Amino acid sequence: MRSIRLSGIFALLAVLLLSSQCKEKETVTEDNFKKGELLAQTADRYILPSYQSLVTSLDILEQSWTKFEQTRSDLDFEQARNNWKDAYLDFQKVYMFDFGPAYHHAFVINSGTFPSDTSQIEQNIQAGNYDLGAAENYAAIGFAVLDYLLFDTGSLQAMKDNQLRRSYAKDIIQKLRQEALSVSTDWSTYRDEFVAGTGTSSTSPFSEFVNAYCKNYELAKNAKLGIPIGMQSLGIQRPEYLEARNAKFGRELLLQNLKTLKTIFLGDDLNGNTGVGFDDYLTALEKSSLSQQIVQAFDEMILEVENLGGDLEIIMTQEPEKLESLYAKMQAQVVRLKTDMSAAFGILITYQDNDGD
Amino acid sequence: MTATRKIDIQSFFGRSVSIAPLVNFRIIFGLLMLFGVSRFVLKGWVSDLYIEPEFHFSYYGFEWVEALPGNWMYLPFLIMFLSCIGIILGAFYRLSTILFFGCFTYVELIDKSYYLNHYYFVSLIAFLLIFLPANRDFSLDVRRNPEMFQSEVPAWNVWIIRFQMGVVYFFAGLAKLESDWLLEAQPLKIWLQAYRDLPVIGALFASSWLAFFFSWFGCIYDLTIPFFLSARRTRKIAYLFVLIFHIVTWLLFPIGVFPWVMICCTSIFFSVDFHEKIRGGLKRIFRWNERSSVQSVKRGGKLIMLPVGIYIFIQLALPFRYLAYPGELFWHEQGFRFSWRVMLMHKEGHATFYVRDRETGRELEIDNERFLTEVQEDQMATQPDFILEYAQLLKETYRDTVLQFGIQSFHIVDPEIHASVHVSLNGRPSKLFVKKETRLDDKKDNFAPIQWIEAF
Repeated sequence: MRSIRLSGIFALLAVLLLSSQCKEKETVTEDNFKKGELLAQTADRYILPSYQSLVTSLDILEQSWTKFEQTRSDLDFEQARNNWKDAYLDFQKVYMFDFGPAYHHAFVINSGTFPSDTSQIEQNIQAGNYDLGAAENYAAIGFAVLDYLLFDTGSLQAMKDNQLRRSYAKDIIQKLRQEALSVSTDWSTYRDEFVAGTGTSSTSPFSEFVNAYCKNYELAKNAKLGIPIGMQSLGIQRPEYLEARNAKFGRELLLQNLKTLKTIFLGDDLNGNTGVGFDDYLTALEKSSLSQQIVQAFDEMILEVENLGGDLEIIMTQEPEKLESLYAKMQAQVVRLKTDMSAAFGILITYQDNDGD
Repeated sequence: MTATRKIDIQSFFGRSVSIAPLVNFRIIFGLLMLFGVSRFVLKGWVSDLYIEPEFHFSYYGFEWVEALPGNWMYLPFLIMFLSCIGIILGAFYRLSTILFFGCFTYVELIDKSYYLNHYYFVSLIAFLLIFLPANRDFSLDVRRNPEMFQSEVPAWNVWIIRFQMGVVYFFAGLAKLESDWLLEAQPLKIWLQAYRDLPVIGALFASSWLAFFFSWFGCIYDLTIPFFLSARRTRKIAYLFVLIFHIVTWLLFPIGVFPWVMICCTSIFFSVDFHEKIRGGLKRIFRWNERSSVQSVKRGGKLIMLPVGIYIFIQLALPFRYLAYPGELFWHEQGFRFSWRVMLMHKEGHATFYVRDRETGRELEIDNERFLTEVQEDQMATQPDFILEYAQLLKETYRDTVLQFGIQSFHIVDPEIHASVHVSLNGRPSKLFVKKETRLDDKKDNFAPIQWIEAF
């Protein structure tokens, strides 16, 4: 009895299988796309040169600072300020790669934490000796410190007057350069591991890359825009949380951050030459419409930030609705990246056991 | 006709059979669990999953179950470790099985974010072992007290484990009889294409036909394997399929020890001869001296058959409770757990929560990382019961609270909780799951059909 019923079920399923296989049209996903190619191109055409260019920018900043230390001239101070801006823009091109060497060196925390802790900075300067690697100094190092030291009101005079202040700035610049150089150097060896890391576990470089990409996007949305305009504080604006507030440079940094995210998505190189990126993977998975939506949203955001002009703090007080609408656009993109794109790639976020429920 | 059949069934399951399969099962299960518990601890998961998180998502009706403070969480794992040794050796067997079942189930009940079907399976098997006399031969208990020895047990003692294994497979197979699995080969298509970079066979994984093959093979396998394992003629070839199936899943998916649990535990289907040979071999290795006389089997009367019947009924009925809920099961997930729905969904979600002050209508956006771990957030973003529990946590956190923002402060008296949630299911474009207008803190988690999520 049982065996008859069983073979019945079996036969039924077999027929279903055959018929569905016959009916099924060629919905084959494009199988010539390789994640390894995406990783190789991103590493060779974007990540490695970007780190090198950051190190170069920091070299230039260090030189101009040394010059200012000698001359203490307004002109050289201005030069250092501009070089800081260039280097900070270059930092926007690499800080999303917060895995591998960058993660190992705690590069993003050490260089990119903002806002800085001004009282800790002043305390360090007064003391004249300090351990910049110490935990209590995590907000007294990095790019944001120079926003305070180089752009705060009266900073030029304070710098001219105080040798300890100048040498603190010098130490900060050297540390920035050292951190960037360490990560850049390590990338030349990590590169092969990265390119080979096409596995599916949550700790494979490809998964880390995609997860870091999504996190960076959220960081840009929240830290550079959402928190200052009061999204997490019942609409009470918090300009003290603006990045590069003194330099009035936050808008340019946000813009560069968004441009980098778009570039990486498309797999472009530093000069905008197209290559293999997430968009190609999505196309291979028959999700080119999602890919188009993402690019279009990036374009709209970038255009909006460009059109804002001027200083975010002024826009915050005069036309906050512009920033709120930009924020809403950025919020919608999170779902596309974190939910749709990550789901399509089959990225895991946890290393624990999982049975898919 | 029915009368004879009734007698048949009673004599079939009530007749005496060798205790060997049960003894071997006890040892195998104990070894597997010893390995599983050690692996869990050594990977640092006790800390990651139970000590570090400040908040846990509780099961309905088990809200009172809480994690032990700090490193005390290692205690249940230590007890499990020791009780596994007790189970393997058949030492203080009843106590060992009770402790193992108790600790394992306790740990599982702390946080439903970590629910896995195979953990539920372990709890069930451990529960059954409490009542089965698997220590009545080749055990330290018998060594201490030869009176306990039993060479035979009622056949249902072995069949109840086979039944439990069969339920896992068969219901896993039934659950696969749905369109995403059979007609779209989802979610396997998503998971398998991720192996596209493998040398030589990568292209195979990137193509969809392998996903279709696995989907259909898996479905047929799950539905039929318990029967093929039960029949003597097909058993050998069936076990070969068990090996292939579970080793392939082990290679491809991060499902931990589960494949090995199934590969080892399905040995309960093997013949008595086979099990007696194994037991004989083990006894020789450990120089086991038979000092005990043959005891008669304690037959289970109606009193035992009643709870066994209830257990069987619950196991058969529970997976069907989803029928009580309208709408798409994968979307609302009511009746999803405890039903052997394994590897059926790839669900990805994003949830942004808002605390709204009722008096002023002002809103504050929540950074989920402040309250939840990555795993918890991931689970929360796609499941309604998690969303409500999280909403309650936020309500409690912000009720009658003064928040300081620089020099400004704000007093939230009565917060409302809202969330904008988007979910992508099995590769579909993401859809609105909960709209921001929906108030969440006044909703209760219960067994009534959920009305407050958006339609699929």
